[in-house]
Amino acid sequence: MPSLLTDQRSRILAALILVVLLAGCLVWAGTTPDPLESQYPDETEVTPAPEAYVGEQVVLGGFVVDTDPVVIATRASGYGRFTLVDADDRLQNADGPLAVDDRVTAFGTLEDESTLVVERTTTRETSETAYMYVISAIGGLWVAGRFIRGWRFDWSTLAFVPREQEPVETHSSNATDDSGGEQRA
Amino acid sequence: MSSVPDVLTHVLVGYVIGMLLSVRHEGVRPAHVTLVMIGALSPDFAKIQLFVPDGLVAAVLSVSFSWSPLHTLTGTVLVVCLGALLAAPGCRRLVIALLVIGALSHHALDLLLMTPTGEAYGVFWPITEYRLPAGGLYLSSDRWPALVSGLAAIGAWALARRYRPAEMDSHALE
Repeated sequence: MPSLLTDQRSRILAALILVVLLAGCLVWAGTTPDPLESQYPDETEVTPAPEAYVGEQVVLGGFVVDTDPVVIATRASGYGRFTLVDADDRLQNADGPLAVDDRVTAFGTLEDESTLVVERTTTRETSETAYMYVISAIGGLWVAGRFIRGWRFDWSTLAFVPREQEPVETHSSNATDDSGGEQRA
Repeated sequence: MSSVPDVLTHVLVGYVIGMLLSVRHEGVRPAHVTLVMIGALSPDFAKIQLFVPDGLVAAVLSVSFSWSPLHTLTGTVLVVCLGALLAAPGCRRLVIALLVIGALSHHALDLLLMTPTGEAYGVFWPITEYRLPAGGLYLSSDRWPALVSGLAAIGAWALARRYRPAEMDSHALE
């Protein structure tokens, strides 16, 4: 029993250290550039003050409001208009020219306050967001279901153990030393 | 940029890897396959931010805050270690190995994503800000990766049914 207690103590200590480290990371990340976001200014920064970003590389997300030349609006209101130079030619994930209302993300150099010379454009359909939520929920529920079926919480050790583990181990160890015949049918 | 993830593709790939491991190694049972799948899903814990936004946590705790480190290698190491602590001492090594395999598959797949800037996410944060070039193979909203990994999962299931150790099947019947 004492060893079990010390085990649990060191386990709780280890968990505490890990939680503190993780929380530290999450708080620290709030002060540094987001590792998951692009390192370039995006439409939320550029739209209010485009003149400040002329000559810089920026990422602008928005929807197409005109196709010849391609013009996007970065705000749902239709405000924040930028002309995209070479947007159709630099489209990464579709062949056809962009159409009105297509959602695009364009990366390039801001030539003047309302013109972006595009290096890369990607487009995605608006309907895809709902599909992503549904498909991700299915994936998550599948894993949760498998975990509940395959694992149980053992109150004596306060840990998760595979449901099938013990009987299988008894079975195989008995099979090797041939001394546990009573376990078999 | 922080879009909805395609969790299903990651989970399917984790399933395929887990099932193949279960064919090769007797110690890897269906419950362990689930661990590879959890590992494959774990970097997307960062998407908690879709439900509990960074700004909300920051406002409530009045500190700067971001969920994003969960989707980096550093976050993965911490999450995997925490996960291993939840398991019984006897199987912790196996738990760590399987979670790591799953999580690495997630990072590998996400580094191949197409991005507007041509750079992948900062997987090495906070050790270095360096970003690998993006693989540019697919968007997270593309449907074919889920389809391909779904077919691979069916293949792995059939393969495991045929070749995995016999006693596992007897257990499935109990």
